[in-house]
Amino acid sequence: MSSKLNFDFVSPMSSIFSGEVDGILIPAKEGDAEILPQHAPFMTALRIGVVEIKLTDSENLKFLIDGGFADIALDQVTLLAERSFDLVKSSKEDFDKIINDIAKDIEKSEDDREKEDLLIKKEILEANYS
Amino acid sequence: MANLKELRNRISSVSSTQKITKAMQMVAASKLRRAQENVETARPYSDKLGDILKNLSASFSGQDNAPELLAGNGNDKSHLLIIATSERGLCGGFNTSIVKLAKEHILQLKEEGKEVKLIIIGKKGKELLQRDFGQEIIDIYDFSEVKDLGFIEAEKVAENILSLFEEGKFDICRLYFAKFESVLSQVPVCQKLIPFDIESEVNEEKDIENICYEYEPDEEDILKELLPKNLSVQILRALLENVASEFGARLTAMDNATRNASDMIDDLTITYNRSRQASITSELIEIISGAEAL
Repeated sequence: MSSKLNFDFVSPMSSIFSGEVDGILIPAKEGDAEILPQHAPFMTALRIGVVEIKLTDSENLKFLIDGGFADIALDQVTLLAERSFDLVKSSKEDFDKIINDIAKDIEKSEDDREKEDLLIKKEILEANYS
Repeated sequence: MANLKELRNRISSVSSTQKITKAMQMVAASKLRRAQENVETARPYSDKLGDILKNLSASFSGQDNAPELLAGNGNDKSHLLIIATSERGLCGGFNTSIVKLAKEHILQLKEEGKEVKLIIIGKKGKELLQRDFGQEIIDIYDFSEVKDLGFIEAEKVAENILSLFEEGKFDICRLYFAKFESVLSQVPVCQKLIPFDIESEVNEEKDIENICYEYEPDEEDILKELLPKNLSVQILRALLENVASEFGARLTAMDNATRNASDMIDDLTITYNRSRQASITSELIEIISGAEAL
């Protein structure tokens, strides 16, 4: 019995992460879910939120995603997301830039749902801004 | 025989052309490497998406409630063809071969009495198709200002296609582009986008087929989200393949041009030397016969 998961995190333009992990927290459409080894086959749509990759007990990676898909089967997890933003490794400038961009989009946006999505994104970014 | 000055000018003009083609060849080579990397990084995403879709659509086959994007709307009267070409020329037969394939299909569809609509990506495609099929073109995308073609551009095209589909403007959608096989070979291909082509997505691995999945939300909702995404991803992939193919084609074309230019320079130099020699000889003969006459 393996105690690790094979995890692939891909976007259309690149492969963001690929390797063995202890577990993954995903923002599934109907509530956050934690995927651990030996999880039942499961496929879900994702909403805007944070994907947390647990590499070891103390080491985590965090990504903000704009929604996407997760496919979990036999200790092989594939996560597809069009846009992602690294919440751990990004520099202050990157944070400033993306928060600014979102603030501008919020002003421009006329659609209430879109606005709400952008606000959630902004909140997550600000919470992780350090 | 052409006079010497003319020949000299020809040689210098050919060699400056050669310099240009050589430079273009080198630029294409370095851009090709990046484009190739882009294609390769985009492949896992579209492959995985294809796998997921394949799994999902298997559970829908033969059912009536399958989404229209997956199964089509049951008609095949109106066809939308998306033809992806390059923005710049001087890349050999790259654009013509894509357009040729598309033209064949257009004429065939017209013969069958179907309605044809065209969306063109790229300036070159517009130039090649506007004269014959200007009436059918409903939209033209010009990405010549965009430096790196990416997901944003693909999404723009996909959104347009989706809204046209929802309005019932077409029944079947196909995409034409050149698949990048190697630097030497780029194959124009036609890919069916709507309805989703299950056959072409079948991979050799079949190990994941028998897993009983849990879906959240249910299959139908997931499909509803996945199919539009798949459309953008397929278009993105086509755009990236096209970019790589364009540079590949340009590399080969410019390599040929450079070689032709150096052949031409060799020929011209020989002619130049011969005619110079001939004029020297004739001058000498004139002097000698002049001296003899005295």
